[in-house]
Amino acid sequence: MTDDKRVRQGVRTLRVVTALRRHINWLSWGLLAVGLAWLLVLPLELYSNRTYLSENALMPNQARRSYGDAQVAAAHQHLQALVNRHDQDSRVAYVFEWLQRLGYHAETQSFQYTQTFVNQTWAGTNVHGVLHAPRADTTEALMLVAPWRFATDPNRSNLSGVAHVLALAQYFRELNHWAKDLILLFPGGPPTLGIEMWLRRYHGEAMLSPHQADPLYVRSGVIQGALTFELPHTAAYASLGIFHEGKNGQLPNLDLLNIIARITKQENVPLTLHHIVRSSPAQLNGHQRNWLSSDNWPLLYRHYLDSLRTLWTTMAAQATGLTQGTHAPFHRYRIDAVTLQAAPHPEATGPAAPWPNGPMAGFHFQELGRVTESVFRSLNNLLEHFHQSFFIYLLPSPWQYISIANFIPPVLLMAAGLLGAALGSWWSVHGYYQPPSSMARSNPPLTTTTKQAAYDWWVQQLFAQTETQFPRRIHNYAAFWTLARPTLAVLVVFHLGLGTLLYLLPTIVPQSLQIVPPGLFAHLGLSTAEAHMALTQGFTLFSCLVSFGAVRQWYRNCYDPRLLRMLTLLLLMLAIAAVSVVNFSLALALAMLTAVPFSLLPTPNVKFEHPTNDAPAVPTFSGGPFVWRSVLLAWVMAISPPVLANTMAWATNQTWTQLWSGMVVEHQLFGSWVYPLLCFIYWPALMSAVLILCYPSLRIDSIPNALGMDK
Amino acid sequence: MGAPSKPHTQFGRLAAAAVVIRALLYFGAQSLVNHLQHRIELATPLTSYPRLQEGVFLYQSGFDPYDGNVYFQPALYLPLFQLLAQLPAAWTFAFYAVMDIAIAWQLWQIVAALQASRSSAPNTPAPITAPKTAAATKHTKACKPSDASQNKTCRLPATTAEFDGSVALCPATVAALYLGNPLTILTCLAHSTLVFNTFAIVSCLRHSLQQRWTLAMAWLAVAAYLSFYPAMLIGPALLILGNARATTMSFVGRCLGVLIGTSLGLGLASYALVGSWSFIASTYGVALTVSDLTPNLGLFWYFFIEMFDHFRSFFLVVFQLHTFIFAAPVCIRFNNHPVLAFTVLCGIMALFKSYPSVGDMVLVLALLPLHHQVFKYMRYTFLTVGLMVYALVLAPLFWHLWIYQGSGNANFFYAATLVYAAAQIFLLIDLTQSMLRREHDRLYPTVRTLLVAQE
Repeated sequence: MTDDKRVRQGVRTLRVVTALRRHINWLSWGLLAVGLAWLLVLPLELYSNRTYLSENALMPNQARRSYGDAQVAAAHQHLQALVNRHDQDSRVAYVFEWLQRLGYHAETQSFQYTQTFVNQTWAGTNVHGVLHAPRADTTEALMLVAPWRFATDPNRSNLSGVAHVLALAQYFRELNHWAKDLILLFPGGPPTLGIEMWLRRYHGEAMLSPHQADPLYVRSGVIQGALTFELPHTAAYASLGIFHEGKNGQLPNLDLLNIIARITKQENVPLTLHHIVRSSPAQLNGHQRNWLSSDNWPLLYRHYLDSLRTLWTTMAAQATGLTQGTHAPFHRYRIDAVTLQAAPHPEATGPAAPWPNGPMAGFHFQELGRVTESVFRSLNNLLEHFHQSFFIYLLPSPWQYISIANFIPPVLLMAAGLLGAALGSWWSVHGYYQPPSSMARSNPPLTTTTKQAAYDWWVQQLFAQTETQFPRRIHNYAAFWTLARPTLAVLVVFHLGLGTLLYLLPTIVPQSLQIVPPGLFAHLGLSTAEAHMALTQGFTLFSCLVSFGAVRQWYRNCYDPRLLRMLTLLLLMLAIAAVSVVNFSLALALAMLTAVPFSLLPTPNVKFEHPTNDAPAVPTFSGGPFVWRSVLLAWVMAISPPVLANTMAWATNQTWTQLWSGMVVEHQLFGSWVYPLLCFIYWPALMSAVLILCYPSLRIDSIPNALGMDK
Repeated sequence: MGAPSKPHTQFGRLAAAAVVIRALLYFGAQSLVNHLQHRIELATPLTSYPRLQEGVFLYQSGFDPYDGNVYFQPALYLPLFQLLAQLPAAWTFAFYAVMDIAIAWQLWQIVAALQASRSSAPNTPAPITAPKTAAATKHTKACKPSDASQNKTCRLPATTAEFDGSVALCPATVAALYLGNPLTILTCLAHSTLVFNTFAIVSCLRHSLQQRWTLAMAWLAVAAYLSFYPAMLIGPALLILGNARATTMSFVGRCLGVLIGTSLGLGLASYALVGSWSFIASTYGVALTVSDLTPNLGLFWYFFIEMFDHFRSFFLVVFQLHTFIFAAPVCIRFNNHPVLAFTVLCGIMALFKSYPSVGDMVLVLALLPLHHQVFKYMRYTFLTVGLMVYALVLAPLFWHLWIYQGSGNANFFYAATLVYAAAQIFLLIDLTQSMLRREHDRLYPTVRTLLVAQE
């Protein structure tokens, strides 16, 4: 009667599928746990590879350096001259005059930018000079940048950096090996803004109304690399810190960092990432790496902690894009750029002196000049464009990298965990019920002796199984449409309605400030950022009320929280997986914040009493204990953007309004994706979670009737 | 949808809602619209609106619009868009919105025609020949009281109507699904000229179902004139027309006559308009020889960028034959389900044509609800939908990584198009296999349960 082979096949498939269906939640939690645990593996010394120079043409440390005392003296002269000039205009004039005197094609560019959201106008003057390479055709250029102030801290002046670059300008003029033009830029105003305005004009972008910047006439070719110097005004420096993260997860090519690491090592300049001083050597030798020998364990442990701190700091910078240097705007134009920021030496006192008495602690212009010269001689060899080495990497130390194949699995595992949780909901909605426990692991009873009897037993089981599950499947389009409609309505309200409102708020709020009676916000003591936050919460509450009302009233019969849970989880998974290819750190932050609470969201566990032939299955349902749901609700509240903004403000010693408006400005000025992601994915997903936790129940007994399913 | 009201009022409301959404986006986010018109996912070199504007400009200035390898679209668009170019841009938008609504109206008529044919003569469109159905029904009924203990197949719906699901498909649902589909809205905003092609194809289906064979063939000729590939829909169209009448050679001959006649007329009109035959090489020639290698969502561009020139002609033939080779087998196997054959061939076109865009997928998604009775047999719904959405998010992201950030390369984007193709393949496989399964269940009700168990 039956084909043995087909039955056997069917049994096997069914067993696997049944086991998967029964344990899908545990499977997804397992994937999440493995993903989270994997993150702790990343800083291990064994897990990362040593960096290597991919583009051989660069040849760092191969050229002879002759930056010497004369140039150091010039740098100190410039520094003294700049210190003696007290207002910005005369300093700009000094730099401009010097560039012209040295034979550079120099130009000034003034710009102005009004940011309506924070209601502030910034203005400044950029100075730049171009040295056309004697033997090349003005198609390629390298850039050296010194802002007047530190990008990260506007209170610290960078006169040393400007003096350093001016001294180099003088020196580079005398060298005759240049194959590419040199552009020196001294951005005014807030340095990042100055550079952004300069780059926009350099690349011929049109200026829209809030931006105003003079056009540039002194030009060169394609900019292939840029180096920014930020040097505090002190007698000696302890180490040189690299800042390299751009917006939206963009990073400079690893080869740029590689040549800097190799050259600073040659010059005995200590190199750090983000000023994280290591208690262990950044490079371990072959003997120290041997983790089998217990002598090395303390060292390896310290190395692990150092790498962990470095990864944490650099990835936080990459995820938010908030703590950036002047190099960040370059990446958008496909220019590989880094900021080199010197850390003051703790023992150094007083201002810089050209000829210190006795041996000097740390380093100063001499070493920096040799490093810069060497880096530029190396960049001078660059062919076409940085393309050989990695663009996507993580750095536990300047000498080690983790490639994407090694760091993306944890995030993908977490996304897979969310997918599993969504699949659990889907199977539940799609009408499969929890199979009888006897089905999953049982074998034919021992009394069956013959093979044929065993098959017959299985065939019986199969019939029992499928007979109960088949009619329960939602089996036409209209039925599914009826079932999905309330959930889709909720998603549209949150992700499209609320999302668009929140997204448009930063442009609406400043305009509404002009519309509402003057002084209303001031009377309430609210700044723009606070008004924005207040309105954000108001709209969120409003959309919540709409959705709650919709769920309660209009769609009471057919609202199914399992569908909402499934779609929310899928959207989140999609966002994490998609963002991970562009900005890994942001995807990781998203996954770490949301994956665990979201996968724990209750699935209404629909159980059918085992049906008899006459009576249809009677579903019962439970949404989880109230206490557990309250805990989850508190968790979801804890990861909501206002709470996060306050936590981050507390951790970074800023006010949350600064962070909040910083995020908006980042989006409006530099096109950062953090704010849109927050509006369209993160916040709405949290609202869906709240909805699921508050209304976990469904009246499933009414659903078959509403859908016209056969009994 | 909603309370029962007059169909026209209902459609009017739907159309109004659709226009409001489109108008809000069009007038509210002008920069978004400009951006969309240049998205390669929405418009290919053969359907791009900016290229059309260029062609119209050349035509207006008295040049051959096909000079300069920019304009690859049919010549008859030129006077139409020359007229629209005289008017404010809002008119062009209104024209596209009206096209969308017209397509939705044709879909509405298609559903109505399908329902009319089912309710008036339940046996006529029944896919299984009469004796077999009768036998199956008899068998089912026979087993009901007696064999309950042996196997429980007695719930098998006995009649076609029951089998098709107790809830009939509502025309408004199909129209709403087309108009509300975000991909439809994006294609409309991008002003892709593919909508004319879609309109011609759905019109052909509508008139076929309503047994107006002259109009059906004429619209098929228009569709083939606009993008060539729909020529393969002649098979399913003839099958639908043949359902209601004795299919004689003379009828087929007359159909072909209308088809060829209309095509010739359109061709001659184009010649008269442009004054040369250059449009053939620039429209069908480009579609067939893939001479413009601008990346798109299809499978051609990457291969033909990578390929050595001496293999090119061979693989060109292989790729194009591969597209057309499905036409006959699909028609033969599904000769009882010509509408399904029509849908599957539209899916094949969206998948394997040389310059596909999401607009092609929109047509398939619009025709899909017509087969709602097989949805319960579908096995990969979750996978298909998931892959499709993922591909449509990945494609622009990888494009961004490749073109703007420079940290990715062409392989990234091509990988996204492969995911997109995989989703379409899963959809087609799922659709055909569920129809075959349904047919099988109706023929052999006794083994039905066992097969379901094997999922």
